Amino acid sequence: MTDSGRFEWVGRRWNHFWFEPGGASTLGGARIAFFLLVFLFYVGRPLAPWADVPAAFWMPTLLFRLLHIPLLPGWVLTAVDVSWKAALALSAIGLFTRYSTIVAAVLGFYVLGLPHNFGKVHHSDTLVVLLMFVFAASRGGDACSLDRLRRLASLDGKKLPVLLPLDPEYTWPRRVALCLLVLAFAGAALSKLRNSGLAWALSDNMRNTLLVHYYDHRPPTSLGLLVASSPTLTHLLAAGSLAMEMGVVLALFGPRLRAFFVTGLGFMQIGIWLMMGVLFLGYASVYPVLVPWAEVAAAVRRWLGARGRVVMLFDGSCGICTRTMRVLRAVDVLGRIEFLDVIGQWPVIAARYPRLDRLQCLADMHVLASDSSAATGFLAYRRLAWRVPLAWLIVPFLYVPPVPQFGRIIYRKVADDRMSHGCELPWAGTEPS
Amino acid sequence: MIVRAGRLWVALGAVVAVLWLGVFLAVPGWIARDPERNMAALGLVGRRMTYPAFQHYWPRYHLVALALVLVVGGALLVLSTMRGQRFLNSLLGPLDDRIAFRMPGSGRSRVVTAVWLTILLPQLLAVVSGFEAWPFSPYGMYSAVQAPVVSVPRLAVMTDTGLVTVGDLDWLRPFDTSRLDVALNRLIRQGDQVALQQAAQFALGRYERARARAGGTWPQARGIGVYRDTWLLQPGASNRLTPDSTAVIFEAPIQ
Repeated sequence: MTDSGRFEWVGRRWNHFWFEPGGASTLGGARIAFFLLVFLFYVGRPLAPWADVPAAFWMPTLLFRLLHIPLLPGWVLTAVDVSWKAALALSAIGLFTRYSTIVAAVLGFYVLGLPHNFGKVHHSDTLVVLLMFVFAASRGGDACSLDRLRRLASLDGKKLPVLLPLDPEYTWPRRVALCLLVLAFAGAALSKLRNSGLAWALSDNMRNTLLVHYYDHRPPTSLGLLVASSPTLTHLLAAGSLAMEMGVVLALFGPRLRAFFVTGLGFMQIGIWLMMGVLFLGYASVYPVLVPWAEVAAAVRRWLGARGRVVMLFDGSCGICTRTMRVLRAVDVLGRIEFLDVIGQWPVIAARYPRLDRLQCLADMHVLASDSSAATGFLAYRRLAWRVPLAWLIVPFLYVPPVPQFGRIIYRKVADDRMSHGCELPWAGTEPS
Repeated sequence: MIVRAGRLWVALGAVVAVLWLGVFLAVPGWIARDPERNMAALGLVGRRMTYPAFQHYWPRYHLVALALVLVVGGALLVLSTMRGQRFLNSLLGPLDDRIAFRMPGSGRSRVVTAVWLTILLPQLLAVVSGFEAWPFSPYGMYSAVQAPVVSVPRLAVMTDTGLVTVGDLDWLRPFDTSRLDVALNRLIRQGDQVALQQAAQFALGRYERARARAGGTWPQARGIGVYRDTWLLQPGASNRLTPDSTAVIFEAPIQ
């Protein structure tokens, strides 16, 4: 084997790791989970109070010092803070994703970095900042985003495929996230070996570490005290932790090892919170990035089977109806909706639902449950909302008066006016040929 | 980053080795000339890193890093053999030949390379070197062996009836307990009395504001202080409410 042949294999493996074609919805799901969790973790933490802290406490970190990043006045901090949180929310829902993720990353560096200039550098948010920059450089808004729905709903949307093809662009950001997590934990294992050697696991270190946190922290349980009372348990816990941290490198070599080590480390951090009262909130937002969301959705679809599936009948000759159908197909991640075109698939519909009237189906959108009961108009949309996770938050409101009453009026108006709003084949009440 | 030939790897390895050896040899000598000033320039002071500690840890950091490089390099060598490649193929599954044709375009490739160079590489360097430059961090996660003794700084308000430790320090937000502890310790180590007075006045101001909000049910402050409580660890943390000793670190009575 020649030198170039040998190393070409390594290069191809390298490329395979980073650029194995991946699903847009997996990266989209990762984007939603990551930005939503970061938003929820930090929404209640205002930045402005740091402006009142005296200059004596200002001890800038290396990058703040090198880049001459100052402590801004209170009103500017408030503006930066609000803008950052708005950018996080927009990034989560995927609106103007390209720009909102960039704003979230740049402002996030300042918002999350500022408190570290006042004495102590906390490490739990480092991965959050770095990952925000990764998302800013990625194409995370291609799927599972309002941007995508806007594009599908636009007049040109019919040229777009509802399901995006697999692409290397949707893999590498999640691989970077994996590498960051691996570096964090493998680095922790390295530090332990460098600073303490095997004494970290073989001495009374774990017992003492657990006990110390009942003096200077407030763990939510007394589990740590229980474990600390048993030398066998503490040694096992220490050796297990060190093995998990060192072994996480294996997570780079395949999905099963990844699932084992990443899940194991997640549980380890939950254990640290229960036994030591130390919460790694920043890390909690990184784990969902590594979840294969498309596979999870497919597994849920398989598990649900035909339960709760509905059939949506739409007018395939109507631009608005077709665009609505395309948007619904994009958000139907659990595969709960079957779409049938009243114009193009009427024989199929008539065979399955012989009591349906074609003119009625063209006049109003119909959604049919498994028992063949039909909901039309606003009620059809309400039935669909139960099937689409994205709409679950608004489902309760769809039952609260006067929402149903207004919903019916708005639906009627849109349905009656649709001929003048994009229907390609005007239909005026006579049955199409 | 498609590797086309082994020579590129060898050249890259040689450059890294020379740079590394240079840093390993040069930095201690440079710091030895003026430890305080040069350690401060590298951002090493204020994190409990003293010059003797630096002398102790520097070679150990590099030995572990060297071991890491040897392991990774050895693995790469093994993988350059047919047998090694067959083993990894059996572990990971066959390579997808379509991938070579589905690489991102040149513009996007530059973006990905930029992400590696600006995010992954500095993080890797931080982890290997132990150098802190938030957000690039070598977080050790309790890497030092814990002695059976714990010593905790405590901020307390001096009142007519004695010292009062006020709960969760919510009144001192945006500071939390651990950040305030470290900040005060750093100020105390620096020995800057003016800065300490400023810090004390800030804490007192926050306390008075919280006292007013509580409707005056909190005791009137006569000053504020930082104390260090020390315990010898007991099974079940049974002695946690009564420190074995308390030392005054700093007290600032109201003038």
